[in-house]
Amino acid sequence: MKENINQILKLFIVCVVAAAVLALVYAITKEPIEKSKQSETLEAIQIVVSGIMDQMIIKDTLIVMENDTNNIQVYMILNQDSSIFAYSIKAFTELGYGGKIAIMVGVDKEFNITGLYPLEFHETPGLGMKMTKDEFKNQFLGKSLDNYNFKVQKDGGDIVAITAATITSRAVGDALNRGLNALVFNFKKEVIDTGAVDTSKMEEVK
Amino acid sequence: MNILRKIFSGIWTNNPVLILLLGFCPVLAVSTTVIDAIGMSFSALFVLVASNLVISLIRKFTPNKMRIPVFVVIIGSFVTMVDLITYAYFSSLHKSLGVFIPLIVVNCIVFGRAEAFASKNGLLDSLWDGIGMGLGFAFTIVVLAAVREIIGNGTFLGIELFGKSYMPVIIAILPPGAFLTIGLMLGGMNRINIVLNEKKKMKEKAEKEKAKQLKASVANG
Repeated sequence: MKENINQILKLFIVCVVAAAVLALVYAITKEPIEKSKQSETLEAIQIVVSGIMDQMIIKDTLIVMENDTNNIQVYMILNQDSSIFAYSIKAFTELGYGGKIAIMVGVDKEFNITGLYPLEFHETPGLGMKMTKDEFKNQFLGKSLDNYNFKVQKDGGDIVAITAATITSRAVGDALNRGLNALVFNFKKEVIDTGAVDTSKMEEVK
Repeated sequence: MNILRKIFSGIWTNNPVLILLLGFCPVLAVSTTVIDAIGMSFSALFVLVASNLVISLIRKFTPNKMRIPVFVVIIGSFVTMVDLITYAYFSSLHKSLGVFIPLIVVNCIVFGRAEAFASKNGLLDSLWDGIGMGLGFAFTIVVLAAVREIIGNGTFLGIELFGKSYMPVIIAILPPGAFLTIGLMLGGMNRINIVLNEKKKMKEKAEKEKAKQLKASVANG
């Protein structure tokens, strides 16, 4: 009996010490982690949208999607006169091979993709992880909902899938498709109605 | 010399993967590219050394029956700490290593060495054991990844080797490729050791015979 209590006590002490050390490390690293998360978002925007200047304002808005657990974050990059320079969408999908995938998508004001930057993903190293490589990402550059079908070729779309990672490729397509649709639906309603790009109405969108 | 021998024991004669047959999960899963394998090796090496040290340090305090939960708590804490610290201060490193760090918890080499070595040996011995075992793990996983990446993707460290005309043997980077390659590596390792042992025996035999002859000639003379 005495021996048992002794053992329990010692295990308890080890756990308390471990918890204390972890709490300390957590407290110290909490702020830097927040910061690096934030700067990662900013960095990602600067990667996917080229030509951002210091005077420009980045304004974020949340698009709440119906029947969707994830809200889509849209960052508007505004010129000094508050006209739109470009957008950046934080697009999500749950269909990745390892669950959630979050991608920052740069979109110019004509709603063409200017860049991709994967923010969060848990894909298989060496296979699905190739979604971060340029060979895969570059096929989306300059594409928009009008001239591109965001499905893999196997499903009748335009995406050239990563070898041995069709599920990941499909998921990226899904994220881009929903992200772009949300953006276009909220910032350019006219396109959905008329089915054509009407640049004359751009003024109203701002 | 002694230290070198201890480290060499981890890399070759007691190689954690090829001889002790530990840690197959990360070895098979994270050996599709050399870069990933190197990342995994370094994070595992660090946790292995750190947990070996702490477990060796408190080995007299740890009650024998409670040692497994104590090891779990210590190893888990180290993995979490590595995760938090790299995220906070080396965020670009964390981005490329992020997926591997939680995987170290299931790396049974760490656990195996805690149980088999660090809980019974002194601080310095445990340190060298951790380094040796870590390097042995690194050696195995990097070789395996190199074979798989070169055959299955036609690249090494992301550099293309054979030009555009090379058709990669996809199976090598898929899960079956890992099993096939590790099987061949195990076989090769055993073959090398058998040959080495035979040579050693032959040498001993020859020496014995020489000694016998010498004795005989002395007796005759």
